[in-house]
Amino acid sequence: MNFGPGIFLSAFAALAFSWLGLVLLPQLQIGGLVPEKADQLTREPPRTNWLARQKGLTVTDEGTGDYYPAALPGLALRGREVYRANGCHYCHTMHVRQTGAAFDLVVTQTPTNITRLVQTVAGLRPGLTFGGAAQMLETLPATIVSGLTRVEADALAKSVEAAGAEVVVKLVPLGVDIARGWGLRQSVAQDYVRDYPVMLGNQRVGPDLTNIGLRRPDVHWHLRHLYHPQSEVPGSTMPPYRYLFAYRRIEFQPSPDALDWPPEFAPPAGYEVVPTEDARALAVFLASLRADASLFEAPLSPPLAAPPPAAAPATTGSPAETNSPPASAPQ
Amino acid sequence: MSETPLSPRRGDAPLTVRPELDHSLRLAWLLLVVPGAVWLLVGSVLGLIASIKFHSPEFLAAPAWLTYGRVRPAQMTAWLYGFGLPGGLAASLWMLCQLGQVRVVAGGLVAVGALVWHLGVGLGVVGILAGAATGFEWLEIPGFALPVLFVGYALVAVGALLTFFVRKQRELHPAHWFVVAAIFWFPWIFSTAALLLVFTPVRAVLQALVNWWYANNLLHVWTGLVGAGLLMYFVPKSLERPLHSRYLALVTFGGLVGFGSWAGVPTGAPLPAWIPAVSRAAGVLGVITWLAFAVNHLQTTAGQAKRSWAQTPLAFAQVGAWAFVLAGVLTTVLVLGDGALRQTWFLVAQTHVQLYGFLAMTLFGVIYHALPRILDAEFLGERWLRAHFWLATGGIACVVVALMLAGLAEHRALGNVEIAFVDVARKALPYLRLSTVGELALALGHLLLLGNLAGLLARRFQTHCCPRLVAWFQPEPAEVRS
Repeated sequence: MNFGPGIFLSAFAALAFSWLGLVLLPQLQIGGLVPEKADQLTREPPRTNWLARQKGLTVTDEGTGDYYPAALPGLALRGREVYRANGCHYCHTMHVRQTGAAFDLVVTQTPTNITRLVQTVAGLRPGLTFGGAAQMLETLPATIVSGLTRVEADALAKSVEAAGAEVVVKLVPLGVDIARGWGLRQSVAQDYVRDYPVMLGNQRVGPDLTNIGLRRPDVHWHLRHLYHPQSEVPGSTMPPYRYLFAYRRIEFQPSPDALDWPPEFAPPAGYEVVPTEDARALAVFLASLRADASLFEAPLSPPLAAPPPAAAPATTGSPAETNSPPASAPQ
Repeated sequence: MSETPLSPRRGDAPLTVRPELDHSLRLAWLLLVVPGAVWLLVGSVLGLIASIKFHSPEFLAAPAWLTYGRVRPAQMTAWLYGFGLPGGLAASLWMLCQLGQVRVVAGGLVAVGALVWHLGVGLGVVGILAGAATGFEWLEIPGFALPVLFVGYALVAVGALLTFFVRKQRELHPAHWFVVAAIFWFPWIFSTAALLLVFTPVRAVLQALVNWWYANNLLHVWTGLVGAGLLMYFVPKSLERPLHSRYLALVTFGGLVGFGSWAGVPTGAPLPAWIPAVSRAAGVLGVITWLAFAVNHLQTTAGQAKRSWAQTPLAFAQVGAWAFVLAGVLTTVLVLGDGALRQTWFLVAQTHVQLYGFLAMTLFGVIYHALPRILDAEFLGERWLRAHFWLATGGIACVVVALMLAGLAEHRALGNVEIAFVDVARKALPYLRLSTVGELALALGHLLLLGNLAGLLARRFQTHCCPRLVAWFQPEPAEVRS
């Protein structure tokens, strides 16, 4: 039996269908993402809708630093080109995965008469004595219950607040990547808005680099690691990138850019290791990698500091930036 | 559907063997296949270097162009774009001529297309090693070489489609569906990816999505279409039996184009949640593709096991067929997991099975079968083909098993947060050493392939061209003195 034209039509339709579904539709849905100001980040979409965005705005924000994702400085942009040219994404991923979230109940302020509060807290967890609860509430902020669902957490928060404490429901992202310290939350589309090319990576021969700028903010650490990975990470299987550096004899006096080494890795006397422009660009790029803003689609609880004697604590839902004003100032 | 014989004509009479059909492909095959074999060797040398760098990071660490991040994409580009695509096109051309009982149309155009294609691949590989890679996996070829590739492909595709349209035997064999669909598939996905990733890039993480879509459609759907189509023609033809079931072939085809085209987006990707979810569902439904193919192949070769492994081209095709099934199984395993296994060496193992174990081995079988007929000469010896077979099969088995074990070890260790990442990476090292042995075997196999091809060409030169050349230079025969 000759299926002939029917076969080819259906093959054409299949490819068209997959193109529609995986190329066109997503473009319509999130093709209009732009860097957003802090107060927009926690708003619900359709800020992401491409059609909605056509009414408006293009964002240019050079230098203000108010937008997320922040614009990379020029040297870091060049560093991204070095990252691409050397194929770093064949060993390193740049996206953090999360497998859900749990909620903790955190007491940030205790009342003067603490007895009723201690009784309430002792009642929340089976096996917790009055003394144990009192000890828990000695240092603030104190996590009194963890691993709750949102509904449970809100209900318990009410009962603890009724005992006179200031309570915060803290969101705790779950997942192996987060437990390993590779990120505070999962990566989402907004994190990549300024990137070209987006090099998510498919292999984890090396650790994930989404937030390497938070873990290793020191540019010199990156330079030493690139020249001799085992000097900074003993046992590392990363190959050295010595061609990004100049190993040369010291003329008259050492170069100000020369790398400092611990004694066991230092070059022989009279020699120095000087990074090239490419190496410095790559190190600056790596030190700039971070994805820690709280977004509507990937919320983070703000960091909780020990409360000052008389100020009101922060509430959940506001964006977290590590260089935001201190918690004691009014938001 | 009931069985239909291999030949579109009813009954068991085989197609008339007409040598001029094969001979018309001479120039096209020479220019598609021989440079392809060279790319295969180049790729496996680069792959060997990449493999060694894992357990000996200081190996060849000084030159910039040999760093792992350049050598790995160069290897994959050389293998897929340098050998897989042109080899697949050459085999498809041959099959279209055989099935349609017609000479290749516009053979000269195809030859020019082949040259342009290989020029594009050359520019691409050199560009990647020089640091001009695009940053998108499976499309690392720099932007300046992409139009060259497109033009080269278009020329070859035009020849292939014309050959299909003027066929004398009008009835369609299942292999026709696969191969003609593949010929159309590539330009669409390639131009979409080139436009949306390189020339007018889409925004943000949509680049990653288009990249995954393209990579899946090229590496799984396109290779699946070409390879499965060739197997469905070549294996029954060599065994002189009909393909077992046309209906199962239809199921394979439908699964590949319908479900396979949607797969490829990993779980947990930073995209709206429906995209990885739909992709995962399609990946699971893709089980019918390899199941239907496995049953069809098993029944087609039933009772002919000894014979099907005895002839070397058919042995290559057998390995290719079972590698297709294995690749399908591994894809299903990867899709059903939580996405963490996909970020380990397991994915590289799956890629090797798909690209090398399946496509390359199938193409070796077809090339070793068709080339002597096309060039009207013989290989130097069956034992050299057998040696290549054992090196290739042993090598790919070694690489795949080693990388699968490495991936599983890494996956188990990654899930345990107590283990520092440095130790997780080191857990894969013993298996990576084993995979280097496999890569070495593959490289030696490619040397043998080139040797076999060179021997064949030398034989042809000796038997056909030499006498003519000799006759040019010989003086007029002297008169016989009485």
